[in-house]
Amino acid sequence: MPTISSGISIALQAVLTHSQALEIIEHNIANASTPGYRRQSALLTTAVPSQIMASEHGIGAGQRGGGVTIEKIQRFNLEFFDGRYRSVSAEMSNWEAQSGILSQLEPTLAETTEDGLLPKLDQFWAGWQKLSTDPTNTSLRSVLLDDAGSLATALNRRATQITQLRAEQNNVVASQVNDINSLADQIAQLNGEISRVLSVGEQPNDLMDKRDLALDQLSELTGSVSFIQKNGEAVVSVGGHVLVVGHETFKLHTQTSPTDSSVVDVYWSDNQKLVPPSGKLKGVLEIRDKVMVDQLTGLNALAGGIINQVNAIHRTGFGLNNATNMDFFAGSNASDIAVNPLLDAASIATSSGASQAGNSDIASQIAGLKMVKGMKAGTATLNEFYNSQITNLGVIAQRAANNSYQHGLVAKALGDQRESVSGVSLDEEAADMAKAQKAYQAAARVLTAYDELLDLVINRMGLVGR
Amino acid sequence: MRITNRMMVENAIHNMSNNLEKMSKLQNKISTGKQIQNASEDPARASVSLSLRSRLSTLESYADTADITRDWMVASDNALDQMQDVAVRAQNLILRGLNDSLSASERATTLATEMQDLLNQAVEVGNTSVNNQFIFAGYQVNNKAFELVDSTTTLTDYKGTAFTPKTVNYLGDQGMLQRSLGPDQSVTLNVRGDQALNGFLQDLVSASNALMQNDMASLQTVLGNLKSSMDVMDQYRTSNGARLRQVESASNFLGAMRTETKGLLSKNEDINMAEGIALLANQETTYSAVLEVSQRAISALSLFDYLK
Repeated sequence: MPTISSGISIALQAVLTHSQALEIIEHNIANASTPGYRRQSALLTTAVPSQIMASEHGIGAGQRGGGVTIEKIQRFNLEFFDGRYRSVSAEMSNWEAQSGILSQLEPTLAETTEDGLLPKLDQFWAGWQKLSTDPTNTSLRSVLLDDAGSLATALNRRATQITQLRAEQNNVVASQVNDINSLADQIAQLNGEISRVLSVGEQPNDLMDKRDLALDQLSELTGSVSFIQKNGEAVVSVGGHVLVVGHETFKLHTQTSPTDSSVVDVYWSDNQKLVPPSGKLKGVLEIRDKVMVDQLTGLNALAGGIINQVNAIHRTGFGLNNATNMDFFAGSNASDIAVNPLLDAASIATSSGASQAGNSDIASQIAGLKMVKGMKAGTATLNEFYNSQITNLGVIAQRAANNSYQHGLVAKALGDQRESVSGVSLDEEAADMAKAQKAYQAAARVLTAYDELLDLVINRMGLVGR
Repeated sequence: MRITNRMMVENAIHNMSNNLEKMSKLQNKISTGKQIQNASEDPARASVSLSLRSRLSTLESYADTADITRDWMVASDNALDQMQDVAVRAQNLILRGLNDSLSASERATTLATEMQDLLNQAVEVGNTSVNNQFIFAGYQVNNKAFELVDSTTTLTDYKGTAFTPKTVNYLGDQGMLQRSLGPDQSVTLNVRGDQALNGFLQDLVSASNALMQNDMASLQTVLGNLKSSMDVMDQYRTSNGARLRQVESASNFLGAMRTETKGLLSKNEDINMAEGIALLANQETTYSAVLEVSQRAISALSLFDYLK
């Protein structure tokens, strides 16, 4: 049988439910711009209906409803989007990292300007050509020494800059490894809390948001993949090696590379080498260990080519002071190339015979080296060799920038899709708020009606004839 | 699609930064006047630019060589021209000496002295230098080509008194100076004094001695020798002229190539200002539209403004 008190309890339940729904809306609005926040909403459902069959008591038909209650606080998230978004954003971060380092490297080389290495090399050849037309001119000889010196310095500077930039990446790698370890710790800790909350049948929505954010950041760094187990714990692995399982983590550390003492490599705690499949870390390692090494090798080959080819001819010649069998350049690679310190202006060999001041056959031959295809097994001149080296770097930098832009577009589209499901729309919240508010008001009005009923029963019943 | 406020704001930021980036690239292009700042912006174009610039530098240094070579060869030509003048005057002098009406003393004084002057002059011309380099000395450009010294032996003149005749020595060597005007093109720069001038100078010495000695037979022989020496000189001057023309044509070719290469380089890497500025103006219009739209997206109307 319906009682006044059961009516009051339905109304009270409604007031409480709707005020809780308002609270959830408030939480959404407050977190509208919190990174990683997924919107939540109160899933309303009818309360358990009255078990007493009305027909048994002969007072009308039907099972009476028990009012409203919140079944669960729903979290809007699609795990499918998370996986796709993470793999694309890892690729984007990989190319972004590559593009970032290359855009530091390219301008320091300044190859397309007058400060480039090729103009210096051209100037060097032109110096020899000029000297070949006027071999006794000592000022031309001094100019040639200067030009050769600035060519050598330009090579030294480039070698130093690439080496330095390469060494700087060690710090980047080390700080990324720190970030990875601390994210792994964070995820392991959240795993523990989430599984505990889930085991008592509650929804750890905000904890899950935090963990998803950490997983996003981790895959941006390493291209890690994750899998959510039945108990709600995430298993994370990087390049086939487990990083987090349950609340256990496997840490990473850096260690000097066995093959190249100037760089550090990343190892797991069981001393396996980490090979990141994607992400920032991969980008940094790729540039450091491939592109920069190639550039340095090429630079050394160029310097070696200049030293060997020029010296070979120079040694056979005679200077104004009949100095002969002298090297023009000292050193053997880009970092130590220098003009032979024993060489003075008069000792520069221009003549093919002793005591022949006007003979400039050697100078002409060295000037002609510009045209000699002595690099890449006789298929390229020194200039062409370096030209292709610069162009190569340009192609790599262009590819990195293009890829990072394109993956960025895809990541943005996927991020938008994810945001479309899980983001907070203030208009929607405003409408929901109005709805909850009205429902609250109506429930409160019902309470007032019961209040009047009680007033009638208590204060005015049984007063007949008083 | 469900649109949230964050998406609108992020889209607005994304569009603004994209447009700003495009605008900054255009501004960079216009202010530097170059299509590309770094090779990565257009590797193929950068590669072409680099090799064109390298080629330009080669052409310029060959052109410099051609200019200096031409100066030297023109100086050789002038020197040979002067030498030929001297030779004609020497020839006239000898012809006057062969004239029977002249006395032996006139030959030995007036004519011989004049011949001595011509010899001095000829040796001086033989020692012509360009840029402090003696042009007739073969490889020995730092030393004079010829020296005029007293002979170690003495001769007797028509009166029977002894006199010390002069001797001309060639101090240079057999060097032929080569200059390259292109990768596979080289030209001989110098005229060697021992080949072109030495015979003539020796003839002048003999003529002077014959006049002093009043030896008509020798004078007659010298006249014949002088003629053939002049032929030799003329021959070398002609060959020098032919090579000079070769240098000049190479120089013209280099000049034309240089202009063409500069044109190609400019076409490859310089921007078309009008086009660049038009593009920038267009980009600015786009950007102001983006700003307008973004302003609306960010401060967008919200249902909260209308709920009471």
